[in-house]
Amino acid sequence: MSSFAGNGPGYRWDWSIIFTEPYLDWLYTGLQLTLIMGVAGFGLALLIGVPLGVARTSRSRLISYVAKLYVDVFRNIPLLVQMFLWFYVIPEILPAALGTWVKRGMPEPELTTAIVCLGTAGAARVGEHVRAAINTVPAGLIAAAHASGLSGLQINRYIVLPLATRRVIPTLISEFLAVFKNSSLAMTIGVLEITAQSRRILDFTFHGFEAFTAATVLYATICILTLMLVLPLEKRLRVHGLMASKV
Amino acid sequence: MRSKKWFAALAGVTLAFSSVAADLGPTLSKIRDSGVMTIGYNETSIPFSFTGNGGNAEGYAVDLCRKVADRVKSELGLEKLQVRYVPATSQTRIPLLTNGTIDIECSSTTETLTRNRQVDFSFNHYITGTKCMARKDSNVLKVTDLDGKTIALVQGSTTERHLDRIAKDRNVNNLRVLNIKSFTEGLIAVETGRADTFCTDETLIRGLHAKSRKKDDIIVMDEMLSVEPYALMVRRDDSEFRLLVNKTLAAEFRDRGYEGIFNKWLAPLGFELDERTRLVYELTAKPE
Repeated sequence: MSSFAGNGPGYRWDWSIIFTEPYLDWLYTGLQLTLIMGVAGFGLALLIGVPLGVARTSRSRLISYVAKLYVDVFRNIPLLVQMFLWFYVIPEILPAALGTWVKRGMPEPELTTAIVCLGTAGAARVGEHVRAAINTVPAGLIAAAHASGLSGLQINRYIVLPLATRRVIPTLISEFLAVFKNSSLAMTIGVLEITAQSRRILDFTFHGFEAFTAATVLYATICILTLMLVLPLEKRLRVHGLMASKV
Repeated sequence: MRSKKWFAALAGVTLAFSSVAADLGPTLSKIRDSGVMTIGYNETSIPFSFTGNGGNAEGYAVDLCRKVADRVKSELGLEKLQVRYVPATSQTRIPLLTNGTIDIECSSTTETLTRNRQVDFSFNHYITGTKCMARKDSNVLKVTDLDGKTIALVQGSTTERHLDRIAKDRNVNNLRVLNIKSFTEGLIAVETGRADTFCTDETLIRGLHAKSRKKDDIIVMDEMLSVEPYALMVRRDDSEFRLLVNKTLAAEFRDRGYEGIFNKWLAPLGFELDERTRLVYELTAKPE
């Protein structure tokens, strides 16, 4: 029925809707929640993910196995399902009092649950990046360090860590953006972030196209700004001779 | 002289005919040209609009739309009219209606003035209001008891804006809102104690309460918090089609009576044909 669009009234665009109160305010509070989830979720992902990645390279079988188990579990369950598990299932398995606290007592239950979910899932990916970065330190370099008489701790401190850190930072930035964008799934457990606010505007005003366009622009702007800020950093961190000169 | 008269008469007829055609408006012209009318329905809005056991569209509002299709057929003088049914959710109904995929939406959509900037509504075919269900152990019996409680509300629903206003009017200050997406989630939130109360259209609250596993621990509050007038939704600025829809509703409630359709769909679920509902039917049953 595409011919219909020509002779009917069609969709009535009204861009002023997204600049009208309360809708502008909804988008603004949505943006705040999205940013909070992105930053806090990624912070948690680093907190768990970095030790996890190091554990993956551990010579202890047990430690590396446990770390691998964590990564496998969190990477192989869809994030949306994890969100539901954290929100609906976990509080019901916990002891009643603790479950009630998770549901009602803790500050901002939905937001906190979303951050925990994004953080624990993000940690699995961060861990893999950290492991990969550590593994890229050439074996010859480590052998040379041994030959020069450095201890294992010294090798880690002066050779592996500096190189791996420079290697991992660019990939971590894309992980941050992933957590930031994945936070839109938090709408399914009742966090009114940007995507949820767009849907709310759609339901109130029936001007959904404008609202979702606003959300798109907000997400894209933040991602592009982040990349603009970190690309120069990435250049400066490059180790000449050890990495390809083009990223 | 005689041929001139003939010619004038012919011209008059042609003119009259073409003016009729021009007055059909976009939707009716499209239906006449294609021989197809498409009805948009919601698959889960029981008993107003849902997918029945046979996989077909059914419900109170769908029945009304079938009457609209009958009337379209007879007013356009079509020999055959194919009626198609397309599922539409609250997210897709606007694009589907405005881009011409569906010609009318038949569900439990509430008419509001803000929404009216994007679409047009028919006369009201039913009226309901917001009611709340609450956990017995939360001691919530009326709105003023809600101070300091957690209330589950469906994101973007009309209930949300009513509750904002009511809370302010009655000095309920510490209200924590749990945002949910579907009606079932509201029931789960109350059952699991995540929320003390869940408010939405009475039509839905009753159905949900009836199927709750913890029915005995949950009460439905008496207080009616708002007015939700339901209407069929059509494209904006198409007066001809909207008039036809309104004529259908008026004729249905006026000539055939509203008890029939009420008893078929709503009475079995415990709805009462109260004074307010009768009034809405009588307002819609305008004279020809």
